[in-house]
Amino acid sequence: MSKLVLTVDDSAAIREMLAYVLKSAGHRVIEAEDGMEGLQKALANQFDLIITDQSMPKMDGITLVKALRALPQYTSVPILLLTTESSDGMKDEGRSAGATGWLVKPFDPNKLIDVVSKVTR
Amino acid sequence: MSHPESGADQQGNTAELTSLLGQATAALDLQCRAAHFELRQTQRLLSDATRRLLDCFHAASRELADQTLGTPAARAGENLLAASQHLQFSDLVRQLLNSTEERVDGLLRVSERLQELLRASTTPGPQSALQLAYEKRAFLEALADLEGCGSTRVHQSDMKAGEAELF
Repeated sequence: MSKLVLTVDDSAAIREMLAYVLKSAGHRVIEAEDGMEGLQKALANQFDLIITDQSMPKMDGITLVKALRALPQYTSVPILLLTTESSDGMKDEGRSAGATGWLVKPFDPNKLIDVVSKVTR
Repeated sequence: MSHPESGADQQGNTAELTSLLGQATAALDLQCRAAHFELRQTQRLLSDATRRLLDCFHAASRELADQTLGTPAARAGENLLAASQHLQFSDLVRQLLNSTEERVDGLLRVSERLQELLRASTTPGPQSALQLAYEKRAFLEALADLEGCGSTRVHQSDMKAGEAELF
């Protein structure tokens, strides 16, 4: 079933690749370049899933997760952190902020589709 | 047999040391500026190459969408999906280059402060002690800033796919 997904990343290449993979799996995608823009778009639309980078200008991914979790409409919406970092400390920080999962770049497109279908079931 | 150095010898040694340090910092400065330029050039080239790759990727995707489903089209679709993983290299490289550029910028600042420090240490005059103290502090600050330069969190050294973990 088609889901509305928000992707947040300051890299245009990553945003385009995420959009390509998600659209090929039948989902609709809206993109944002940083956490601040992501939060604005999340307030303007009701997304079924949010995939965000961690390291970004203006607002990083973990701050975005905390801000979204403070909004009643996003308390239970899955949020995935997609990042180059894989340290346990950062993962714990993401988990404490309220993220649903942690994906390390470069992502495997088939694995991403699999994870998306699991968390949006 | 050693002899105590005379005042003239000490002055000569200091002058020689100052000259050597001056040469070293000039060379350091030259190399840092060259590396800085090369990094910027690499960033531009990488950005252009990625843009072209993405354009090709989307064009191929549009062409495939126009075809009826068959084995060659399905195979091409799988290749496009795989390419979406490989194209992510540009983001990893971009982060690494940003970090290296930050380091080189830090080195340049240290080099500039060191040259100012050397200039102040060899300039006579009533304000020289004050100027020297200022330059020493500025040099040490630039050196301290250098430690915080370059903070890449990219650990990947190949294009193997990353892990996925659900909490």
